[in-house]
Amino acid sequence: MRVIIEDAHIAFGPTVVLDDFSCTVEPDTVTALVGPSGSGKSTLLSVIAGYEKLKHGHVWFEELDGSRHTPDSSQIVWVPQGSNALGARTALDNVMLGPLSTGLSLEAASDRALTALTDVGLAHKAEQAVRELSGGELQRVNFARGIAAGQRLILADEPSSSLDEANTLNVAALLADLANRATIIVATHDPVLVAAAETVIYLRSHHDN
Amino acid sequence: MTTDSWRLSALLREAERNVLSWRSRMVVLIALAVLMGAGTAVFSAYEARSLNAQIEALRAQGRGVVAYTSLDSANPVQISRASCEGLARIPGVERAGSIDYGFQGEAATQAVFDAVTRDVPQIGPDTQLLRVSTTLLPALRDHQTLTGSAIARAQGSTRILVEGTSVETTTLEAQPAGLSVNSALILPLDAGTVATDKCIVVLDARTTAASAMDSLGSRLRTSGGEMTRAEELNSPIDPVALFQGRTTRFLPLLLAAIGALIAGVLNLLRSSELAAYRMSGTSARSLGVMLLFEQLLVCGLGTVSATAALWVLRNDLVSFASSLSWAVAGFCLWVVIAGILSIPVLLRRPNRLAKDR
Repeated sequence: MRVIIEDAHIAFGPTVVLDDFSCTVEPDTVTALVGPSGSGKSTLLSVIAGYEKLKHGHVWFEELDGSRHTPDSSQIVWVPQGSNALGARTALDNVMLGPLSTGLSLEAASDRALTALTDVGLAHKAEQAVRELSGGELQRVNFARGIAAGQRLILADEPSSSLDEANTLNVAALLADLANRATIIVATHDPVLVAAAETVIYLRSHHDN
Repeated sequence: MTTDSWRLSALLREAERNVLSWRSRMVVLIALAVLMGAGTAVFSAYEARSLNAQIEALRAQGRGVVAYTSLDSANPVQISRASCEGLARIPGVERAGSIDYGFQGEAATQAVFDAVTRDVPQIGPDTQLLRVSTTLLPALRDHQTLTGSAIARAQGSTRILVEGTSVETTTLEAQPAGLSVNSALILPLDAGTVATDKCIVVLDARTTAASAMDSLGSRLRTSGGEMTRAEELNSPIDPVALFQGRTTRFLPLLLAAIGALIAGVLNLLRSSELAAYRMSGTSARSLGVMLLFEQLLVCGLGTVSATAALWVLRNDLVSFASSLSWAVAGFCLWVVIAGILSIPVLLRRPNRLAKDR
């Protein structure tokens, strides 16, 4: 799925964050959104996810056949900064949320979730409560949720912000593995993740101009 | 716009897993609902017991005892015995029957009891004798005579001598004022008695005399003088009306509102967890359905708890159905309020929800 942003204008009151911003994210690639704090990385991700609307401009999801439609948050998986998960539930249960939201049966969702956990190297912790996992493992669970859902767009907001170097490298490797399965957009400051991206989009801070 | 494809069965499974897990914070809510259900049942039983105690105290003083008798003793009324005893079959009437204080016209039929008082060695001199319908004192069906509780010297059945004749008697439990039988030796009304000048009606605990006296009186067949009626205790206190109008009947609703508020706070505290659903492609609508299922499960357990406790206490309740209705109404209110309180969580953007702690 290709993501096309046309003439996006984002402002918080009088503060303009993005002005006439346009870009295209190619399908099945890893793209890094880079910029200083306040440059609108997370807001742009939120707009792409369909969580927020643009006052001016458009965001399009373009299918392989060229058809376009507006963002639909049921077609994306969001990997957050923090440890958002059902803490009392198992890793398997958490990963199953993605496929279950697409209408799969429990059995099919469970199979997909196990495969996804295997892909991120956490199959052995499938039945472990998420609150007992480390930060790095939890972030891998979040990515596994995206893989298992089979969504074609994964948006990650500072996914390494609470990780140590080793786990950041794991996430970078994971992104590289996922590139062929989905379009991935990562908002990040982290040079390791930037290096893992195939495309880098720099956002300027309007305060600096 | 979000258009997910969650199956209802899968949402129900999520709700069940979130609620029925000892590791979940929802355990607090379950404990609250179960305690609330059982607590309202216990409170219902306590209220019913208080009501019964009040009613019994007033009944002992003659509340609910209606006497139909002559307006003018110089021109006595004759009330048909059959019509009087027939009142015992009317809904709202506990028992009813005729009392003959004077044995008018029948002294010759039973030589032993041919006067109003007798010297009974086991009871005392000048013991008053009364003849009463078995529909008013059903114990007369099983015993030759009954001894009023105030004059009985021994409990249970015994034999006494009345003018040399041995008769079996048993102690009658204390009767409400208005029957005037507690200090008398009581015999069944003679089969030949067709009318007396007094008909006594004992209403059941939930019937008020004011509403029943006239309609019951209209069923009596009379002859001779005019008839009047009066309740033995004309108390301005109506414990049944007070009970029906009591504010505490709303307690289940109040507790439910508190429970729903706690559920709402708990959902706010779970915001970052609930964000996991939204960030996985779950729509606000599906999340709302899942949260509704969670509250239905919690309140279902609360209702089961209330039903079980009410069943155990059923003999102490005014009405099992009424108490259960209030409990169910309370839990329905809980679901509605909790549903309303979850709307802000559903309307928040998932990425903002994720940052809530």
